[in-house]
Amino acid sequence: MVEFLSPKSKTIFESSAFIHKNSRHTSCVSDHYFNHAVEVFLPCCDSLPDAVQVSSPQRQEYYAVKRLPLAELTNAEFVSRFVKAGRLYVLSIGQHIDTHNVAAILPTGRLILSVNKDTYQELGLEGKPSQFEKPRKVTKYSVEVNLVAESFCKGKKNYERVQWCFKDRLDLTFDFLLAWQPNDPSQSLDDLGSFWSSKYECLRVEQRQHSFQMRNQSIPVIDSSLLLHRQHKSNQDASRMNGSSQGCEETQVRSCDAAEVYEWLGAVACQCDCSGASDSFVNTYRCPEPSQQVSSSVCHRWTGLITSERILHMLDALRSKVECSRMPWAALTVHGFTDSPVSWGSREHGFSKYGNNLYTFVIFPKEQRYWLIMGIGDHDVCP
Amino acid sequence: MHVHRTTTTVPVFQYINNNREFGKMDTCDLHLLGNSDENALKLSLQCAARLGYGVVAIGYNCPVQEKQGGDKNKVKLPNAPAAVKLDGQTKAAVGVQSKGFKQLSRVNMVLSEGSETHKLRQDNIQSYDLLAVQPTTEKMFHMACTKLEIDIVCVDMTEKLPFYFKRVAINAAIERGLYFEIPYAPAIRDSTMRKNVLSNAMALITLCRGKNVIITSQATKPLEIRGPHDVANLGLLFGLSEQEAKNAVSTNCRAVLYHAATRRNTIKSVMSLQQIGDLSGKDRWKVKAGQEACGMSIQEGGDPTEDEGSGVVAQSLEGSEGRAKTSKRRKSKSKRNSVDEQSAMKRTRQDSAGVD
Amino acid sequence: MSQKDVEKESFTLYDPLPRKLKKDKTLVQVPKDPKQFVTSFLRAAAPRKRGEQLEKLSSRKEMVMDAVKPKRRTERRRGRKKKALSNKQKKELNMNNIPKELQKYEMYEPLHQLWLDYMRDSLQLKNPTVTAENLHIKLLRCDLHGSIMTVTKSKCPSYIGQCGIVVQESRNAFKMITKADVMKTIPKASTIFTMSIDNLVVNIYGNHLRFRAGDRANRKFKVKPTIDL
Repeated sequence: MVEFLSPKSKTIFESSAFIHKNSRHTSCVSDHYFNHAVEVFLPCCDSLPDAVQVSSPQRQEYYAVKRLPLAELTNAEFVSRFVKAGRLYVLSIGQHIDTHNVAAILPTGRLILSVNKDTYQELGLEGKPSQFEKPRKVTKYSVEVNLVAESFCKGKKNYERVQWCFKDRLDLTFDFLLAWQPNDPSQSLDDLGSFWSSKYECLRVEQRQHSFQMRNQSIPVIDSSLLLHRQHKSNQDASRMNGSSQGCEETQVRSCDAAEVYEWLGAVACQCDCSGASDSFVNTYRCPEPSQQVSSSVCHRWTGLITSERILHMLDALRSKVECSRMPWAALTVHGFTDSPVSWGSREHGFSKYGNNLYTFVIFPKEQRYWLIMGIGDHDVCP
Repeated sequence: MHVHRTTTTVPVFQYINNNREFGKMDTCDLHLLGNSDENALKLSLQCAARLGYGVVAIGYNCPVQEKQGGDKNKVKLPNAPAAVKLDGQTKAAVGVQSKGFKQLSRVNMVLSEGSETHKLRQDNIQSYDLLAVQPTTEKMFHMACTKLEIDIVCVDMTEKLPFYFKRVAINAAIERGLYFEIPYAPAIRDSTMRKNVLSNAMALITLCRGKNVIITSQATKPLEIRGPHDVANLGLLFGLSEQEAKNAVSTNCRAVLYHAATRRNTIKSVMSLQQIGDLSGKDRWKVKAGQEACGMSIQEGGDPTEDEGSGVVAQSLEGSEGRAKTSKRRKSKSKRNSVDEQSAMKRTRQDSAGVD
Repeated sequence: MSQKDVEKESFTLYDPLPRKLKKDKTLVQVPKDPKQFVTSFLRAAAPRKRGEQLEKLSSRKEMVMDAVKPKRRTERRRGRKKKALSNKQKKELNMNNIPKELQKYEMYEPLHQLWLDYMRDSLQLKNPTVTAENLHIKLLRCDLHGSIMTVTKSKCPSYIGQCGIVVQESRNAFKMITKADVMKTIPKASTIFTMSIDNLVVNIYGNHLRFRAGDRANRKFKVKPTIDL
């Protein structure tokens, strides 16, 4: 008999308030460096409010450079002009984290290179074996180079070694996405583009956006103080069966469970039909109860390389919007790149069956409360 | 506490992921049937490339020949892999990795008697990248596992086997680095075959404890190819664990390729030879010091086009001697393992490696 | 003398003593008891130290005079071996190490040239009649001292790119002197080396070459499953 194990992915639910001193919302957003898509769901809205539109990542552009050797990114000139002079986000695309080589530069100035066994054995740079693999059968290694370290400059041994390792010897060329936020306002992203334009193919890319409206749709009613009460209820059911009689008064449920809400948000993002028609061939999914009918709601999505600063801006705009309007709540979902070598901070990320690393904020007007739901895959470290 | 935090596993609608259409690994399908017509093969290759395979081996069945040696020359190193060109759409889908999409050739020998094994040593058979033997008797199976110099043992899993797998033979095969093949396309074609494949595969896997197994397609048309992650999932059905199943399409296939390289290109697996002209620009640094000591200058790195140029120069500098040597050695008896031939093979392999 | 007499005389095993001597009684006195005579003779003739052995000698019925020879030879050999140092002593005396002031790349460059000549001579690369098998066997058995080697692949990243002239080879490691005049010990296990002889590039899979240099010369190599590290 074959046993199929359920995937080991985790969903983490947190409930807190923006004004609380221990709130983790800032660190959660700013530590998640490589964001691929941002999605906003606003109930009771006809169109995207201007305040949100202004703060959206729409105007933030980024560069795509084709077939760029890694040695160019570790070049002393590049490091001093861009890595040290701002927050630089670099990520290779088209490569797959589980079997290919992947490179990224974090805004903290660290180059993270996730390489497979063959490359590692010829590369010549010290690295750590991937923590998701069995100790003696490692096929992935991650190499870290601190580009902003003082020892990393021309003439120093460390620098020369890194340059020698990346240059010409192995085929370490990637297609890169680059986004840059200079510290000096007189500089702009164009400097980055013009730096290589003579040698490599550089493209300036805009964020793609996609928007759709839903009319006369039922949305779940949520009480911010009840995060996962359904689960508690089932526990109570169990305890009741054991003979204890407490918890009977929880029969009147006023709110949906966070897990249900999360599932429903996913269905909306996929533009599923949530009418729950029983004869539907595709799905019979319906909005969790209790629900309320809303005349119109908006879902807006931006995709591209989006920096975490932008998302923080947007979160702030949404907060103020939710507070001053009649929205019952609003949701902001951020997807990370599935093939990025890190998820949150410098925590290692892998692709076991799906490289999910995403988080959702459900924002409530009352007391600036929010729910934070983080979805991580099998090969991920719990943030 | 203010921050309420729990961790559960809940079913969540699969969110859209625009940045990855298929789960991709540098995975290998080490058996597409190549004896079918060329167009179907081309389509299959494109399909495999699009599904995310990095290495594909095209298998040719060695025709069962009668005692006359007349049609010996029927099997020749096919230049098909080099010739199969993929269209632009596929290349775009494969993306940067197009340079990594490799096509290999593989030969399947159906053997039933020990007296037939000499065929394995024939030049035309040896010219293939991978060497697979399909034993039909228990004796032959034992011999294939313990003695023959091959890479893959493939048993015809679509029929009820005339013998049981023996642990001794299988352990010996694992020790020697041979791999067992489980095909999945026959299981798609027919329900009886499916039963047989499943039962045989499970019997095999319990004996080899999930080690040294590769899962291949044996597909004749594109419809029968599945993506690497799907195949890995299928491995669970055969009784592999999650990691083993993934290895069966990735790491183990890599090991097969290394085994084949050891068998074909090395001297007693201690040394391997190359000509300087064959080194690509990237590899020049390896011999830089030695060449400098000889008083020869060597160009390191540079553009790939430039490298080819310098390589040609180096070869021509080497002079006609080298060529004369080659031709003479071709005539001599021991041409199979000659240095030049090896390097020549390697060159054709590199050429055939590119999609384009 | 008749013809017959001559023949008879020449075929006797022991010639009778010449008549001259026979007459001279001081020289040869035929003893009544030969045994006693022998002992007394030996006592008089042999050196004094051997006196104790004399009885042994005389008591023996037969003595093989030649048998001593091989025995003496082995004894001599043993004696010589005793003089040589054991490996442990060599280590204690630092004989396996090359002193620092002698670790100069320039010093070993002639060694490399010598090695190249040796390889060219033994491999005969330019000779078209040399078969591949012969070449392979020669390569497997050749001496590697003096070759310039580069580490091209290794499980340990810091060895990659090390390059120098091999000055010592042990079962498990190569010792080479790099261009920076430093001696590096590089283990053979899970390392791939590359060297070149004129136009021939040789990759050496260290994993399967873990023998002492001398042992390699007449050893049968077994084919290993994989060259993977």
